[in-house]
Amino acid sequence: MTTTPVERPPDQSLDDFSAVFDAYFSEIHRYVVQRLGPGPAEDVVAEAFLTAFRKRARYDPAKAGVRTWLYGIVTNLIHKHRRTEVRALRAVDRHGPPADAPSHEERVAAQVSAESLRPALAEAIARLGRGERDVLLLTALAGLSHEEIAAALGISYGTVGSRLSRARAKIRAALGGANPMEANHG
Amino acid sequence: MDELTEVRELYGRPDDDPFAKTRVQARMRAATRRRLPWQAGVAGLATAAAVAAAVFVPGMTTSAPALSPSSGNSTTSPGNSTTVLSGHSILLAAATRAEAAPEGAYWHVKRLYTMRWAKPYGKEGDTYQLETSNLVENWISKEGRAWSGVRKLATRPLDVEAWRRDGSPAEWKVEDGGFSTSPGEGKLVPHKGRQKFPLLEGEQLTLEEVKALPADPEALKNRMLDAIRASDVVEDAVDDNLPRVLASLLYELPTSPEVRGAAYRALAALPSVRVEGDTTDPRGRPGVAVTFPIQQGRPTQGRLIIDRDTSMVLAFLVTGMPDKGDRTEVVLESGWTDSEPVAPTAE
Repeated sequence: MTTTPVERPPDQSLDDFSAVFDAYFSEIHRYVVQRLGPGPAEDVVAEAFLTAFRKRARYDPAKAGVRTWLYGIVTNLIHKHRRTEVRALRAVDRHGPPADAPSHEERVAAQVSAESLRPALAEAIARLGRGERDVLLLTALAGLSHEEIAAALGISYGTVGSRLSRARAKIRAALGGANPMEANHG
Repeated sequence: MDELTEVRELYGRPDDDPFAKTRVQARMRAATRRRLPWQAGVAGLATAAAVAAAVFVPGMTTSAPALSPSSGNSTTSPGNSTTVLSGHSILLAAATRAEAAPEGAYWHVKRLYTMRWAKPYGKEGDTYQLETSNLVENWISKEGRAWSGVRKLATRPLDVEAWRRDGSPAEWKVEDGGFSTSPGEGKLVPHKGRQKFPLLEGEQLTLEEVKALPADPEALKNRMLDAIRASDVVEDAVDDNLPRVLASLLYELPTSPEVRGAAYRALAALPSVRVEGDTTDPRGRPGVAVTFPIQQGRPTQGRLIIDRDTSMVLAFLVTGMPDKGDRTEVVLESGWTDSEPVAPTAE
């Protein structure tokens, strides 16, 4: 039983969309769970695959692989849930759900995402601009390259680089002297 | 440690929820009037598109924390392609089932029960255990006409050498009949009068009552607690019966996809229920093992094996029954059918 995900030829992939779903569901779902928590993730992932199917005619294999294209779609949908994402990040230093979270869904999202998060870093990520956070998390969590992120988000290669640098600098600052690699810079 | 590693560690790796995929499919179906749009394009599957019209409720929002593997052996990776490889055949099988499912004349469940008896047989020094199997089928029509089909399969000594030293007996006497190394004949028994669907040994439900079961997990749980109490279970053991009766909603009764979804969610919310990860059922079919204690303070354990893709129950195993042995219930078929009831022949 092989477990290597193979980026199949795009034309073939989109013809057999159920195979596309089977191939990328786990990865896309995990990425959204990481950003939004498991409750909202199911809605977002369902919408992402339906959107991808609807827009398949506009998919250009010359510009991006299917996986990259799906990350682009799902990233756009995550933006609609910015409050959930930020709330989950800010819930990190509280024990229990944020006091102002009205719905069960958001409480669960916050709790689950919070389990392994540390407050200062989480707060720094919450404070990033939307574009910076996208680039940071597509790099760190999804493992996309600069080229892929540029294709997924429809931005230039240079913009990917500058957003990632800014995001990393802000995080470094937020973590202060806690980073031993940075200790000798005083 | 650089920032990207910090970020990765901050987010961690979420536990694999084995039912997330099915739930997402159910959401997509709900959003597209029960059909996944791309299935119209899969050769030969156009009409069977309600793939695995199975199980999960649109509108489910929370996850199933207790149903996440608790150990670190979660195997999902960016390319967990077991689903890629097996997805299609499972999809086809599920689609066929789903297609046949809603319109049949009879609700039909076909099961193979296997029992490994704790009691030793044979003579002193040459004892062995026996494994007995029964094929059991149940049909009930929408009007409540019902039939049972039973066939005893061949009894098998687990230690063949000891059995030979015992003189290779072909029959064993037991309290209620006997065991034989030859299979019995299949029998079909019609039930008299209007029959209902039993919940445990107590409450009997009409088809309408089955359809009216609550699709909200908490309400469904409370409804099942009432049913358990109605079957004269002592109050201390009521909670221990909950996973078992919720599991029965997944394959013994013709519940709606919404109710099955609620049953899964109710199971997931029980602290005693654990997902143990990928395994195979006694017939080698791959599935996810979900375990729970059956009797408090005793080693009796229930183990459901669930098909990851269709969310159907493949098997229910009970281990650790004191002085009794281990029991296996393999679900061979569960669904609506138009085939007339006949005496069981083969598995």
